Amino acid sequence: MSSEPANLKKVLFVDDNLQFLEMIERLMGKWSEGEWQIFLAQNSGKALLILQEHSIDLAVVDVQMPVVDGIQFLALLNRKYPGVQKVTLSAYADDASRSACLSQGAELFLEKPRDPADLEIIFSTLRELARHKPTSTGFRGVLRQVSLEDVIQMECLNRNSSILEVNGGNWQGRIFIKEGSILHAEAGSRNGESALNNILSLRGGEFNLKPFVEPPRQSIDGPWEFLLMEAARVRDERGGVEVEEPPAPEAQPAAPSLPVPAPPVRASDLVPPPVNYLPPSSTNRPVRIDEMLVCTAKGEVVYDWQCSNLGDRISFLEFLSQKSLQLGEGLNLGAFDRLEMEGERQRVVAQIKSDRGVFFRATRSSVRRNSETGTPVL
Amino acid sequence: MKEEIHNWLTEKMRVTGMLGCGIRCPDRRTFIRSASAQFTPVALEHACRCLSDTFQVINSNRFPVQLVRWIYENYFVYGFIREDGLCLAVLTRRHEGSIQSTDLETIVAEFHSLAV
Repeated sequence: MSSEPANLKKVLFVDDNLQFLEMIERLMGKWSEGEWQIFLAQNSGKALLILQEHSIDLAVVDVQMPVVDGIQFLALLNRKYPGVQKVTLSAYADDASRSACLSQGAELFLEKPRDPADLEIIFSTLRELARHKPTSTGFRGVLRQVSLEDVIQMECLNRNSSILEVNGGNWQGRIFIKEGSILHAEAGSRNGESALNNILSLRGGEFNLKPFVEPPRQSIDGPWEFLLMEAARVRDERGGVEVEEPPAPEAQPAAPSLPVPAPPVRASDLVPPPVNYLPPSSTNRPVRIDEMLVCTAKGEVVYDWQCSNLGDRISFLEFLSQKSLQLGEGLNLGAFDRLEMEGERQRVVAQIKSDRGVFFRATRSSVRRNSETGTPVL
Repeated sequence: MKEEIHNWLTEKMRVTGMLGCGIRCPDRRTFIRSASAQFTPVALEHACRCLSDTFQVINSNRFPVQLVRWIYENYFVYGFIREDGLCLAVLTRRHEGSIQSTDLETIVAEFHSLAV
């Protein structure tokens, strides 16, 4: 039985230029003094085979490759092998490909050396990166689903109007939300708070947000915060015993089951009031939420509201997860919470937790400017 | 240019709550000042590079933003970018001892008018 040295790093180079690969193997193999096991692939197909068979630590990918280029391959790597550190090498280092590579999870974007002597600098950089592989899995950590309460909270906080339709397998429930207030709930033969509590006691099922239409009547009155708290209290009093679900009028195919809802994520946790950042004046607060996305640590969408490009938003959260670790490296800043981004009229917040990523973009009504420079102020 | 940036960063280190700051130029030259051995120039330079990467990705996502705030458990890292691509990073505490917002606004205004 063979055993590998504990510090052995498996490094994969993907490049369609065979001569370049051979030079890499010869020189970097020598410089690494046995610290690296080098794998070579001339295309993404061969690279994927190597990735399946070996636990690769670092993949160095050429950006300009035929058929599947480096950026496409990076995206694939990011999805399939999120734990592999990724670096791109490019002979033509333009801003567009640089940001595309960074967005797709590349830790570094390096220019291909024109002089072989510069290869040693590349090697030193790669060796440092391979040695300091982050231990945290960041955004792609533990899976947990967002609960129904979370979705209701978000709808109410955003003052949305919608119908939350819940499928509990053999029955269906609906919660009507109008401009951030819960107006009506129905589940089987039940209506009102009783139906709402029943829906929120569900231990599995699936839900969908549908466009709002007026309910047959208003059966619920009161602040949504109170209603959710009351539902939680009722659920607690039942001691986690699943409620008797109303019988369905007719048999329906079973919906794919979701895990037990997680404890509610308070929206105030997601986007707490900024400290010393935005002025207290309400004129500069977001007035319109343009899009919002909540996804699991594996990048699965659990809540999407008007997201124009889900793939880009998930990639952005993945980039942020990786970059937040890198930025804090060596500074001991503590756990990363979120990134707030401010523009003249836009506010974008992206939050990364071990189990979820949240993205939201809002538009403000007015901007406060520095009277001297005219630049937006905090 | 180098001296102007150095002088300005040195002056900004006197701002209450400033733990470290740095400027990264579009040509990747980076200038760093740190108030504590905890925040080494190498780590701050690395942070500036991450900040610059972030603005690049933000730009490619077409988010029209000019300033960012990284929020960690104990610290804030503010980032600002000018139209010419010059990036400023400011490190301060998250809770007590943070840079006052008025001081931060002054820093931003000066950064935007910094002649380099």
